[in-house]
Amino acid sequence: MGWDEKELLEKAKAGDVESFEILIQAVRQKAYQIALSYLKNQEDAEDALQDSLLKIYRGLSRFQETSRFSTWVYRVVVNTCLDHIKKNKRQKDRILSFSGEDREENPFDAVSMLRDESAEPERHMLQKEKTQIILACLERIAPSLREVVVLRDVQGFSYGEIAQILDISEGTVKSRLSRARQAVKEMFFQIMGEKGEQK
Amino acid sequence: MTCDTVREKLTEYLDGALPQEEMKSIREHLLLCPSCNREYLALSEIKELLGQTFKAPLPEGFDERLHEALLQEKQINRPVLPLKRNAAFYRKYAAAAAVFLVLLISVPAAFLHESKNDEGLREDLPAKAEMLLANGKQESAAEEEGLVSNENLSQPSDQSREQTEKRQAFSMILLKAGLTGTCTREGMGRLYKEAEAPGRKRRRRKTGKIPLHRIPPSGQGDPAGRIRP
Ligand SMILES: [Zn+2]
Repeated sequence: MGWDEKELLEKAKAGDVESFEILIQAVRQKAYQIALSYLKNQEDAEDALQDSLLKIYRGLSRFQETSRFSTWVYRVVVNTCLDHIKKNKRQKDRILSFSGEDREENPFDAVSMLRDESAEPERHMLQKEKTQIILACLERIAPSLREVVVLRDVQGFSYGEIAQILDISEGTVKSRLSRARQAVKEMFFQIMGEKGEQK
Repeated sequence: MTCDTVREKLTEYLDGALPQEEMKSIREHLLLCPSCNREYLALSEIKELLGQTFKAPLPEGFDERLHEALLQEKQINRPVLPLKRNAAFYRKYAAAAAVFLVLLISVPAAFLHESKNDEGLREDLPAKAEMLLANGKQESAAEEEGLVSNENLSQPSDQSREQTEKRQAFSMILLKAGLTGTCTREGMGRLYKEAEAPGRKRRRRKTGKIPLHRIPPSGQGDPAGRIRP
């Protein structure tokens, strides 16, 4: 941690909002994308990120300078997102039991949509389709695998950083990452193959 | 290197996370083994596609909304300030409480016996505590304003209401401190927080979350926005 960052941190710990804002400048974009990967829409992601940053602002005095500030921020964001998901699930469960429905709809399931024909230019469409299929595949793998592969392949964190953010060992990071990529790969090419047969 | 070993290490190879020697032998294997090479190419494509997801920029106005929320947070949490200020703050009231304790002891014993329960005292004594506080009030009010000046400028009515609330709260602190003899800084702090709690809750409810003027999901170049139902 550089001298400037230390000074900013001291000021932020004393409650100075502007210093805190400078401190988080470099991490907020990535933190937002992490939140987006968990919560899937802008509004919820912004809510979770704002909550996280307020938590961090409140808890700054507990921050130990031995750990990296950015890693700590991302970790809080991940935990806040998991809380939001839990809360939303409870809400959803209540609504479902109220309406008597028992089948949970997956708002993220883009696969069925993708099978529709489209008037868009082939090449552009293909790239867009592929991205959406990848998202749909991501949604179908276990959350514990998904978060690792998102942190690595979407956000570009190192194994060590992921281990710290998720509070798991580096060995676990590697094995989950391997399983996650494998699972996404199999699903992805299966869907692509089915689409090819349809044409 | 066998195909099994290569497959096992493909993930790390993809990330360039292996020692140079191993990176080299896997590269050589891939050149000679079409089956492993296919697997490698497939995984690279997945990795590349994943890299294109969730790349949305921060929503417009995010920083402004966060700034508002932070200012509000700062205001809400004002009583929990750095220790330096708190120490001076509590010393002042601990001194006042000590004076009050003397006063309390000098209150006729009969009075105490009659209204031994807490409720009775609560009704009768705040006025006395208030009078006692009046002497030191100007000074303490100034200090309070010093603590809040740059946050409360736009809300004068809120501030004065809060001052009143606070004064009442302090009366209760002095009362409790006098009754229980907890004039230590920790004790005062705890009592202060107890007294402050209802006010804080109410304010939080009143102002609630920052009104966020959400932009509708645009979907432009934003995979997460697009797939939203
Ligand atoms: Zn091979």
